[in-house]
Amino acid sequence: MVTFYSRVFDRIKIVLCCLIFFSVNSYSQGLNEYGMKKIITWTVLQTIPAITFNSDNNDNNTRIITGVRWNVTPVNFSFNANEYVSPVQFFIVNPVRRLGGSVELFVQPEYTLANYNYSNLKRFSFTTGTRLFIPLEETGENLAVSIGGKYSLRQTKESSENNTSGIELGLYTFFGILGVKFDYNFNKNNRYNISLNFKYF
Amino acid sequence: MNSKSFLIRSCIYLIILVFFFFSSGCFYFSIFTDNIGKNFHQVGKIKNKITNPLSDSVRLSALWVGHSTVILQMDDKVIITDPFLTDHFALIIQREWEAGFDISNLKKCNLVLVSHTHFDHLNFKSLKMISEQFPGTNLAFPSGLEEYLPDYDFKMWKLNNRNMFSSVYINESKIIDGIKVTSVFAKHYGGRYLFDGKWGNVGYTGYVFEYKGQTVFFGGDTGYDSLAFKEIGKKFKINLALISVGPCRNCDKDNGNNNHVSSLGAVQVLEDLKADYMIPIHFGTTKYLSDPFIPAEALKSLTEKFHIENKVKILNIGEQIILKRID
Repeated sequence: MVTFYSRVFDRIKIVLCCLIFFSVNSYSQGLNEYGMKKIITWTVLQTIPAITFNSDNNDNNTRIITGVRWNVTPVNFSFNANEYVSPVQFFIVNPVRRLGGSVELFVQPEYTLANYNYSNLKRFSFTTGTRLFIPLEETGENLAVSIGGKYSLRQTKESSENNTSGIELGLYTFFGILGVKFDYNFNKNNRYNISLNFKYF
Repeated sequence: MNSKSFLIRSCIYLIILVFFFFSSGCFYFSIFTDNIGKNFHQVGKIKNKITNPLSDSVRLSALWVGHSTVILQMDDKVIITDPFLTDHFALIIQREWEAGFDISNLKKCNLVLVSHTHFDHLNFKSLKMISEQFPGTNLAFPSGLEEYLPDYDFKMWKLNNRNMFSSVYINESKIIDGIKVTSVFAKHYGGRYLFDGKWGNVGYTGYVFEYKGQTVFFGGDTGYDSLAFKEIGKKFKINLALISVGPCRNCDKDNGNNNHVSSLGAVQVLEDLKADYMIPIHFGTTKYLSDPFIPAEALKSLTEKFHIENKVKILNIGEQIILKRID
């Protein structure tokens, strides 16, 4: 158990270090007062989690448990970047380039607010994957969809590995700040997740 | 519980959460919620729209499409400022009156100017319409705005400005399709999604553009700054000033706030610029928690008070004025 969590927290530490490194280097005007404001406000806003509804079932019983999920984008490649900007963005991803058509790598720690009674999973899991954004309305600002594949690192309560892969489908509005995501996991004990997303940059 | 009931219950939870999110007391959400109801009403129709605004005998003309969108003819060149041609911006904010011109009727466009990143000035759908109708036409924008600009079919021109960091009021000039475009001072703010406005992204400017002896000032959105506008007035012999007026509360009593000039502020800017004519813009189209025509009403009485009726041309949406003809 200790190994699993230390592995996950090591990854989070690496992500945070990379976040600071790339954020600082992505400013054309250098890290000034505004650069610090950007990092601080963005980081604070990223702590607002998505609310998730996860199915918890075994062969006989099914229920829904609520949880939270944070979503971080280490790298995004946009197909809609103009000649003055880079198509590649790290962590702080401009919604115009994300929603206007892009592909991104994501990592998302997840935690359920109740125990998995039937599927016998631990509350904490760590998911990574890629997703493709497709704009539908107003270059994606008004409406965009995403489709992606993911892999979740999870453990059962007895600390044996119960990793699973899955696919996800997202619908975003309000400049990408609000979204609803539907996950289908290739695991019969936790088949579905639905989440209400809040994502700012 | 089967999959169907799981989905239904999840949807109900989501709707409840969204309701609580939007019912918070935030000012910006108040603007949104205030405008939600309007989406069930029709946008006001403009009668007798002009279908052919261009003429060979014109040296300088302006057609006010609404808000900050003006179609200018300067001899053989056609310039569009801050194109906002759709019925909505920022997802749900609906304009009071439709755009006063159908862009499909425009035969020519040499240059599109975008002053800043805000939704009512940088309207993606409008830019896309123009880029599809006039592929490869010129688009000028201030540095910082490129972060928010999709890859439409324009020839893009970035103009540097240093609004926030120095007292340089006249910035970069570029010759675009024979038109000399200069980015000049504006007192406003950048960003598009609320918090990013505080991230030091300049992304806003005013413009002066010159062609064949005619000079037009387009201020974008700006607050009042006496030194800046006097300096611009000294440097350029401005024939026409397009000045954003409002939103404002005490429109005839003070010069406005840090981001927008009031009606009195606009008169002051006109005086500082020493322009021949002024056309007020940025009113009458969208409602920012007050009647959108208040700035124009106040400006009308101020022009009478200061006897500048011959200089200030308050247009109706869709109205065109010819300021100079070829002799």
